[in-house]
Amino acid sequence: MVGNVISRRKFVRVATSLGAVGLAAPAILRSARAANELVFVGFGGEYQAGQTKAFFEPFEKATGIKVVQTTGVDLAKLRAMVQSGNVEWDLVSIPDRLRYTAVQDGLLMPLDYGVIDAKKIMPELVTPHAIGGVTIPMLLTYSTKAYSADKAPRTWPEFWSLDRFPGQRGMYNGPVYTLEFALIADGVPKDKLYPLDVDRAFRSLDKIKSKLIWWSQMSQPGPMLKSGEIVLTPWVRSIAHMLAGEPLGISYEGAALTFEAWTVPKGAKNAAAAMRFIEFALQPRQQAELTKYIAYGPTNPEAMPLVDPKVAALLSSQPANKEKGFLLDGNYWGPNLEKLTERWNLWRLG
Amino acid sequence: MSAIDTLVRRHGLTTCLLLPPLVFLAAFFVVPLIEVVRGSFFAPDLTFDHYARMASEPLYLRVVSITLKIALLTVLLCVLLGYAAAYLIATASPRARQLLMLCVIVPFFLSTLIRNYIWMAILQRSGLLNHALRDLGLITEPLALMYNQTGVVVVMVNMLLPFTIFPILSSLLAISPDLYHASSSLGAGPIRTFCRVTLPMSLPGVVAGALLVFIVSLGFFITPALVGGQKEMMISNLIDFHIRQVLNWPFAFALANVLLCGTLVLYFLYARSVEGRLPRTAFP
Repeated sequence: MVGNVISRRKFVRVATSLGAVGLAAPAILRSARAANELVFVGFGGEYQAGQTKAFFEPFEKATGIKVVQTTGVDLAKLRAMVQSGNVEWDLVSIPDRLRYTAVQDGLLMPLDYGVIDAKKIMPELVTPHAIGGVTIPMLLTYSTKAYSADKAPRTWPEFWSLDRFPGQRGMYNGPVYTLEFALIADGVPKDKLYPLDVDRAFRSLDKIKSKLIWWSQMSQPGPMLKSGEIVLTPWVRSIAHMLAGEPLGISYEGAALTFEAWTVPKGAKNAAAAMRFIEFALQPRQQAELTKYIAYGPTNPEAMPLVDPKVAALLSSQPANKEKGFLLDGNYWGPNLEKLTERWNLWRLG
Repeated sequence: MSAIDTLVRRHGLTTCLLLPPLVFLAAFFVVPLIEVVRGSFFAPDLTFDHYARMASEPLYLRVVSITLKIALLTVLLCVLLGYAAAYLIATASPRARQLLMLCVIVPFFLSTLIRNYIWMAILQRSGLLNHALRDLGLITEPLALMYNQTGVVVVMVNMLLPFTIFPILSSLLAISPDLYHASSSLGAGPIRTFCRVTLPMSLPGVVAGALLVFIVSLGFFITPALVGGQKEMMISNLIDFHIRQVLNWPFAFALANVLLCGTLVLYFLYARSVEGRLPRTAFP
């Protein structure tokens, strides 16, 4: 038998060279990519289908640059690409909450504000590495089957009032948004939220903990509201579902306003084309076009007059709605997310 | 062709057949695993901070113990139900056996996520099960079958049941029918035959199935996130958070290593405790 065993050294040598071929494979495949295209990664679904109609198809028609689409925005994947020097994505639309981490980790390149005209965009959504593409609100949402419009809860203190508004409540399973709502419910003015009084927020949450059902995917509240599992919840997709005719009501009172931003990964191969694309996607016509497919708000105020008035009235870009809410502070959450999530999880188990 | 011939002649067929999978495992399992262990200690200098944090923050030990509890509960139910199912399949006629096997395999074709959502439609307050129970007059208020441990364990058992059914089935089918004849001709009834012949002879399958289910269930994270409640938090949920949300990979690596070491320790304790007590046929 001894003669049949491959020497250890020889085995290691063969294994290493085969491993090297495996590691080099992406680089070999990469060189096959055409220069005149742009790789976009999105969240898929109706949202990305809308982005195709509103941005990608007209951009290709106007410039001849084809936008190749993939799905699955994932910071971990982006980091692996940047670290290995093989960045497949040229264009990522990321939620503001993740932007801070991406910038901190050196995953994004500064935007070229010579090509992108930032002046037309809401100033609070413009940062060196990211520029707001759509506004998204986390809104108090209720089932109109449970509450008639005149008797529905409108504010976070009312959401917290179990006597006046009985029924199971849904809540996002995480400290972001939730701690802010808990503080507003406890009487903190919405312009004095940050830095968060975390102890007070958890004490406030304790009061309704027993009536909460947690959801962790943005798609979950839809079926929960439909089946009557919950009658009330904060949610980001309520407007789209309302427009689709579901029996839902919303209130902008104390809503958390956030946004998704256009970014370009560090080391992107077609960065110049990506900058041109971003400038194109920020045009009023393109932004208004997107609202036909998905009810997220334009970040360019000039787009609002072009939006169907029925839809425009519901969007968080509407000044009257915006005034009632607060801007979720990505710069606060970036450095605090890890510690506060740890505490959040412990509180859940408590 | 001749090169392969020479290789086979020089090193033997077994070695040559083993080489490709070994190279594959070395490149895509051992190397990343070493990286995960190294990454938890060096960032870039030697540090034990991540392990210290895990020990000092009460959250992590609690989540590890919840993970173990849910995994063990899943194993127990999978073994009991899986044994019953395997016994039924083993004793069925060949035609019925094929049909039953198909029933076990088909759900495997559906994605895990979709199966989770299907279970949510069944288990929720206004779901199929609660409706059926209410229509039968068995309950007046809907039962809380989801957003708690019951829901998580029910769904996990459903996902992992085939992992016990198949190994148990193959050990049941390997038992020679002569043994049953011998047992009954010596005067043993069906219960006694089962306890003295069938069960001990099929134990290797039970052990293999239980281990598989245990190891796979330690890594579950979609199910606890979707059908779990306040307290169904598993270690993989925390690993996922640190990998993808805050990009703290060293800490995620440390969590993964603790999980891996815990599993290995349990495996060796388990292997020691059953060593020599199993029939010699096939120890996993």
